[in-house]
Amino acid sequence: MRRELLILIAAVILALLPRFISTYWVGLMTQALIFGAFAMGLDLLVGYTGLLSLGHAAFFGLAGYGAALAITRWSLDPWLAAGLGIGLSVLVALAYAPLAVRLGGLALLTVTLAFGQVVWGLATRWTTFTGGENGVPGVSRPVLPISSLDIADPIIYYWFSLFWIVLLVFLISRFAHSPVGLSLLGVRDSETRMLALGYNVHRRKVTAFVVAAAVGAVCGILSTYFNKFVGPGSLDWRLSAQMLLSVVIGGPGSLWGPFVAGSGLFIIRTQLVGETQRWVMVLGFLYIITVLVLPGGLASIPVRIRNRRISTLPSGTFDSTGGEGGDV
Amino acid sequence: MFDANGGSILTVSDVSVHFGGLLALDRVTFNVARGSRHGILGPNGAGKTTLFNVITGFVSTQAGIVRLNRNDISALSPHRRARLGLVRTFQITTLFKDLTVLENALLGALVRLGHHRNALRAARDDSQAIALAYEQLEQLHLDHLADMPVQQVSYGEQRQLEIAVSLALDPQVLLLDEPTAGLSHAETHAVIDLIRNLPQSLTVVIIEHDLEVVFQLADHLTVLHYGRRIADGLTQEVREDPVVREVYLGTD
Amino acid sequence: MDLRFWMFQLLNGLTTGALLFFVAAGLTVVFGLMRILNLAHGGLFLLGGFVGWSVQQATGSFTLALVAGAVAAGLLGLILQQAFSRTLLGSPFNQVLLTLGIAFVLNNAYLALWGGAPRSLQAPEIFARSVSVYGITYPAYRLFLIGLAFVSGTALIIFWERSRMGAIIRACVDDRQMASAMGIRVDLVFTFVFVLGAMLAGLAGVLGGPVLGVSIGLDFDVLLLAIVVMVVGGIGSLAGAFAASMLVGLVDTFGRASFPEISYFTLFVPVILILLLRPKGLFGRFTGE
Repeated sequence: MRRELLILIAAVILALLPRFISTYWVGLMTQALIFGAFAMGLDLLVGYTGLLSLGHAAFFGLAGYGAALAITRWSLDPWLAAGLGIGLSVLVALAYAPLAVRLGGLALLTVTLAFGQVVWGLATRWTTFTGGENGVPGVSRPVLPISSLDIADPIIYYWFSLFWIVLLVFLISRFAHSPVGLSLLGVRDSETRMLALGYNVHRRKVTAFVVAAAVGAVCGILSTYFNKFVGPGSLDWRLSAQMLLSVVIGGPGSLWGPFVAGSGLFIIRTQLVGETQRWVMVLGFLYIITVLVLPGGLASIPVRIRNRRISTLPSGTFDSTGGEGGDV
Repeated sequence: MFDANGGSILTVSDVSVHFGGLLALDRVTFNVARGSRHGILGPNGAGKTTLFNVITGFVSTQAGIVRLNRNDISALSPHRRARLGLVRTFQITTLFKDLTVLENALLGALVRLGHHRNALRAARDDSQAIALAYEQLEQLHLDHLADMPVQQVSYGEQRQLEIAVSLALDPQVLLLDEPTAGLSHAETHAVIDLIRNLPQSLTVVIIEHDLEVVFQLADHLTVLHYGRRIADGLTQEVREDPVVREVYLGTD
Repeated sequence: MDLRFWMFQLLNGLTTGALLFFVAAGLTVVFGLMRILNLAHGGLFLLGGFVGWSVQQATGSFTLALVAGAVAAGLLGLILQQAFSRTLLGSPFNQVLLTLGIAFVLNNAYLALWGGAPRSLQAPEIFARSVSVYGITYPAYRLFLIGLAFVSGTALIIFWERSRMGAIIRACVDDRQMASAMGIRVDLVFTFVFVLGAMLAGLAGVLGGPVLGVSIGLDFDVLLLAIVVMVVGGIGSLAGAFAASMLVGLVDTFGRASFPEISYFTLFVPVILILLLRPKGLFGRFTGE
């Protein structure tokens, strides 16, 4: 209950935000929230289940492309197109995850990267269908059931996105704390024990993979409709890398940490791209600093402070997420 | 005879396992009687843990059959066997070290209640499962540790928790792989008492290194040597077996 | 699409394969040896290219460019390995983030130092012409690259299989604990291999200069291809890396030529299939675990 109350309070504050910020910032916040939710979904796979993916942008972009192509080429209603895009992503994830999660550690990382590149390659090279580097412009947003609300208005679109993101966050939080969510933590800590307890470990991994993909797909739709455009950038492996970094900086397994980091990184990025060309370097240094200085991420800061007070060592949540090789 | 193993809950028939050129188990056969305390004995490398792995499905048999309640379970995956009531512990603790003691037991309790597939209701609000997990901890006097992360409780308590987590599943057969390994004298006694106090209806199979422990607990013994069964029978008989005395007890 | 077209593609494929081998050799052996996926390996390649370009601009010599490129990449490799070895040997999680972070920093540093414009190296004087092979005219420099890859590939494999040092490295790849129990200084072997791999990558950056050019972004393109090679060839296998480099070079080239629309498909789908169905690689013995 307390958790849900916190989500509600955050939602209300975020809903009131457009009163105090410029239209430019409303647009930025819309996207920041989308990437926050994307990172939060990925945390279920990376932080909870302990599986590394460097290819979840594929599901973000696949949904976006699916919807955009359905709208621009087949004049499908954007609501239906959104369903179609998400459905496409989830189906692909369902077909692919059972094979992929058989691999662990770095092999899984490699195969997700390769898969992401396949989808990206299709988008960039199959120009006649996907528009190649130019992407798919002219994507129309869905018409809201209340006719007085014009979704073309940035603030209305912000609220529209916020509604779905709050719903998503609520569901992710529910899922994470459910028996299935707990079992994912179990899989991360000890697969053999989970098997011995009668859990179908393979299916749990697939679940985490597909749920993270589905969250990515919803975010991809929101992002595509925000931009009224989808391009290969939404499939770029660097987006996958940025999301992975958001999880790590935020603190794997904490959910709120990755959300904050995902949003924050997006905002820092847009501000830096405006000022200098040094975004990539900043991103790189953030990776390095996180690994060397703050394993456990943002979410570990309150824990560290608390622990310092009672002077016990912080628990090594971070190392254990890497599967083998933790030396806590 | 047709009904020779009528009272058996678990039967292992002619099981062989190779690892490369090494024959880890060589046509091993034995029965575990329902409700018995069955010890598996043997020097290091005799194949005891491999035998456990075969029974619980972590290693697949290359020959032979494992039956639970007369049903062939040789082809089932480990988690299917666990659901059928064949639950094991491990020599090295495999607990969920980042979770609390209660959460560890909860993972077992959820399976027992069939709530483990629930994806939207908070596990913490599942009062039935929580109560069951708590009950299990209380039984083993671990309830005062419930909210502690596992990595902060002592090794002896972790070994007991291993058993508690397994018991939360309400198994038919509990397989314990060296439950007292690495424990102090006092802790060993605590674990022995714990095993002694398990319900009589539960069948317990124990791999144990410590002869004292085995003789105190087991009513039936199977002795392995280099992957072969060299003795099998009531504890008292096996103790007197000259072959066993030579290869195993003699080395003590 | 006559025979000459295919002949041309075949040679192009082998050229790509030759360059790939120099990059992938280090990547795959380092992974085999220490279970480290060095995502900054493409950055070492590109450093070689840029340093080589600068040196050639200053001196006009391709040979000096080669030496400088290899040495620069080797030095950077040494620094990275020394500075981060503790984290590099930790969990895969940390490795990936750290090496990816380094890759990003290097990428942006090169942009700052050398600018975003694509650079190109001049092939050495003696190869700056074309020769006729089986009725097609082909740049001599590319033929030289193919020849060099075969010669040095063979030399490296012989070193790997026959020399004492090679035996030591292989022992470390096979069983690190055992090797260190036998008194082998695994950390020194690791440093040696890491630096050697870095030098090879830097060398490839210079050698590839006249063919691929030197530009920002090439680091990640090459890295992805090298990962493909590693997967196809089997982790930790030099001979596998050689065969896989040629195969990947050919598949990539023919894919681009024949099905330009889905050329990424032709390259990465086999990788996915190999990883999923035959995780030890087509030629190798090791899994990516």
